Amino acid sequence: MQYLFEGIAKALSLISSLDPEVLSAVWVSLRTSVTAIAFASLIGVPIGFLVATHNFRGKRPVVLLLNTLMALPTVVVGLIVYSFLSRQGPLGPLGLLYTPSAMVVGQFILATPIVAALTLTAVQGIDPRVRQTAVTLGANRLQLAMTMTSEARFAITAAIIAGFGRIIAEVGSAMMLGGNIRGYTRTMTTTIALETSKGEFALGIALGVILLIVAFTVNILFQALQRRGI
Amino acid sequence: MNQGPILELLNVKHSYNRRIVLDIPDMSFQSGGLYGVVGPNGAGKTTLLKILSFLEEPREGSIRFEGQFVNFSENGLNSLRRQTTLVMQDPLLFHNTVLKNVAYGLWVRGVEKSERMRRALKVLDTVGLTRYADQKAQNLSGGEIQRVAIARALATNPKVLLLDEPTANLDRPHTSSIIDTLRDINTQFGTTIILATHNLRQAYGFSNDVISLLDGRSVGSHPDNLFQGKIVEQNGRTWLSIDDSYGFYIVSDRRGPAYASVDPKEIIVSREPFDSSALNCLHGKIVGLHQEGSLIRLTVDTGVPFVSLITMTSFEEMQLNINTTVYLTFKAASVEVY
Repeated sequence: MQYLFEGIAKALSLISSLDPEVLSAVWVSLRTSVTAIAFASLIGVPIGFLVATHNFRGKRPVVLLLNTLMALPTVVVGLIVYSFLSRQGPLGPLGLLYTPSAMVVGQFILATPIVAALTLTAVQGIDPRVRQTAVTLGANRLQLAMTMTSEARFAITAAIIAGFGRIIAEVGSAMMLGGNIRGYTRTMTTTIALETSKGEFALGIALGVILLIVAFTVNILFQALQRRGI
Repeated sequence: MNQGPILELLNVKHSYNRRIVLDIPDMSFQSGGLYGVVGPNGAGKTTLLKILSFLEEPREGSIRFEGQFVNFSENGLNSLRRQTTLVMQDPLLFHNTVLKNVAYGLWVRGVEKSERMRRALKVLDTVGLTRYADQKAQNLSGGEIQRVAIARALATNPKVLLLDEPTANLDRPHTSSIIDTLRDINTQFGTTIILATHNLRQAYGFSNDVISLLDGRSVGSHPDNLFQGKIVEQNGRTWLSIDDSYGFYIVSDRRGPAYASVDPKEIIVSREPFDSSALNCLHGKIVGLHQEGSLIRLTVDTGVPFVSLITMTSFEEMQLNINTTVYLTFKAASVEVY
């Protein structure tokens, strides 16, 4: 167990001394995950909203598909996107493989179904009186959609946070699509995987702690938002 | 204010799960009128209001608003809805401040922010809730929620205001203040107001016209044994004088013109005068007999027709028939005064 305690002590010193390798991994992780969740929210929230508020043929299979995609294995996403972006792939000429953009694409695919499916549940859970009240007060379709989204804002934010939690913590697709290039595509999770395999626990633990701090901060912010209530 | 019907229902039928909940061959509401809709729970009051506010499309029949047929599949429905506002029985306030809730209808109409806040504050003042303007709506009590919901509807200044049991959660002072506010709005802006309630006193006190609903059908505008008269003092007791020679004892502190009704189940029917503490004992001949499930509905001509409900067993034991003379006994306290 000694190595573990040593690892923790060294981790704390790496964090407090703002070690450049730690900072770089944190920056790459946050940059790719924040970009990916922003796109996933832009697409996922409207998808979830539309599926929840419209009745159409094939709605059930669509809901089932969204729910299934929530559990999409990260390596499968990595594999699919890799096959498209690799040199022989249809999007090979774009030269995106082993870049942060490729990682964003993978994370976007992972996060969108989560955001969409949880938004769908959030919108379905809105009090039916919201619709009737907005309509009787004269809301048009767009205003009604805005009102419903606003009424479900905490649950929709929770959906986005769940998506963010999934992608900031994933390692499979980031590793396959980013290539774990130091200072460029090396994220917190890929560093932890690499360092652990090398038997270097300190950096891994330091980044693990930071990952937890990120998760903690996001949830504190969410809670503060909920407490303000407006 | 009467300029012809603002809303008309023609052969309207509505059903849920194949059960007919509303069946109205013909009903109209005059512009600027005050209407009460009464009936027990499940009579179809809420469905009627939802149809009249264009929130639900009737399965059959049609609606006319200001003489024009309403087309539910048309884009113009939104502009019609902006002229009629429904305050629901259990109103919902949005997760926002009280002021923003009241200003909601103005926001959807594109009223500029400072103007909508000014107007919202003014309406909030009429329901006496200005001090709550910046509070979260979710912190209000049931009665306050109801008043904010009414203010929110009033802020849009609709042509038709529909209210479903608007005073159900309110105490007496607030109830009369809301009713007074509604009357003022009606006088000031000529707003047609349709108010559903199970409180007959409120309906008759408030409206020019009362619609009684039972099982989705309009059953005439009066409950059984409804009389219009004048409350006077007689022999040291309170008497409702219906005409010079006819009336009965009631319990009320009021004097002057009033409506009163007697629940047919509260009337004891007997072949001989009934010896009891009840102050009212009328007699007359049976002019109508009608079976209603296990009860018999008797119509007795006591000078004016009086309806009483008795069980089938009593009916058979007393061997009653058309033209039988009977005595009707009821307590002064069983008379409801409006």
